Amino acid sequence: MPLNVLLIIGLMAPLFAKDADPNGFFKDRTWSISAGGKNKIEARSQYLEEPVQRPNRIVAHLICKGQEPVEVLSKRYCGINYLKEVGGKLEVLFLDYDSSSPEGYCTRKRIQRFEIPNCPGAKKGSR
Amino acid sequence: MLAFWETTQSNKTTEVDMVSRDFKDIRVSEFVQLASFEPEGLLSGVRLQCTPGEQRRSSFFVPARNTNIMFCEDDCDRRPIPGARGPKTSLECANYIDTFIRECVEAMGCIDNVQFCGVGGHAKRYKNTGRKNKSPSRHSTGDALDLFGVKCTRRGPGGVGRQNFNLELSSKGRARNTKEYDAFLACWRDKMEKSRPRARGHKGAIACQGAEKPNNALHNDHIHLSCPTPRRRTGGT
Repeated sequence: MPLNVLLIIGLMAPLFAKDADPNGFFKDRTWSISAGGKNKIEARSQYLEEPVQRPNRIVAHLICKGQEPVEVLSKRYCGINYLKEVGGKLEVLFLDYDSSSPEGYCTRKRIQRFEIPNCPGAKKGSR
Repeated sequence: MLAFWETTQSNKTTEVDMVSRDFKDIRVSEFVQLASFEPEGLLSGVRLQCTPGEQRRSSFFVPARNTNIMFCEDDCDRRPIPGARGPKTSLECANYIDTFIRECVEAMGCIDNVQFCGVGGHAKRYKNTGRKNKSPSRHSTGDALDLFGVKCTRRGPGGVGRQNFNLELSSKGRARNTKEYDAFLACWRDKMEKSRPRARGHKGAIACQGAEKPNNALHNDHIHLSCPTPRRRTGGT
């Protein structure tokens, strides 16, 4: 095979390499979710490496217009599939550490719902 | 008993039987393959036993007082979870643990019914994921355990009677039981330093802030305990 062809293949190899972290479980991540009205929830997740069962920390805040953010959740976890607002609650599909999987990490599904607090000064139920 | 003996004799010895028989202080519930990063690939490993009642293929007798040391993936602050299992480790790490853990739990004053809880073990990690310019975690080769706590039976005050002892392996737990936390940590590090084979630069454990170094804030809620198995890519602790 000509040398220039080998060189092109070599340069393009990273494009075809398998993504080591396709779900983003070992990266810092952010989410922004509508929380009804003009409010939204902003969540930031940081990859901390340890412990192996819960290598990430997520902190989510309700952003209230013109006011200080209100914490919705702060938690160590393994993987997250999604966050969404369902019936006035923040629904999170966690993927827990499961050593039964061949790769030994975030595969066991678990849904958890968190109360979304009202914005300070807001009428009850209007957030 | 004779029927059991005949059955055992007629069956071919499995890898599980061999592994279980080779360990003196720990027990394993299954023989497993651990997925690892290249170039290590698949590694031989075991799942450590979580509870004394767990059925093994070769077991027919469970002693009332458990002298084996158990490792459980359950949540330390809840009642034991039915069906909770033990973590997976490499075969090499299981051997280090079996050789040295007894002395280190005794350093905490534990005499029997020892169970480590909230334990995480093998987790495949890719070499460049989230760890720029670092070697992969020892968890990726089954050579590390994250321990959240330990439960055991100790002698009562003045050496009279027996009492249950729970130690959270966190900065809070260390504040309450500094002597026991530090004794366990020092013991394991000392054993790993003297053990052979030993990977260069291996430190044995990462602890909470305030404990003997290496320590950091990421380990304020657990101890990262590792084995010095020489690997091609995993480095220090």
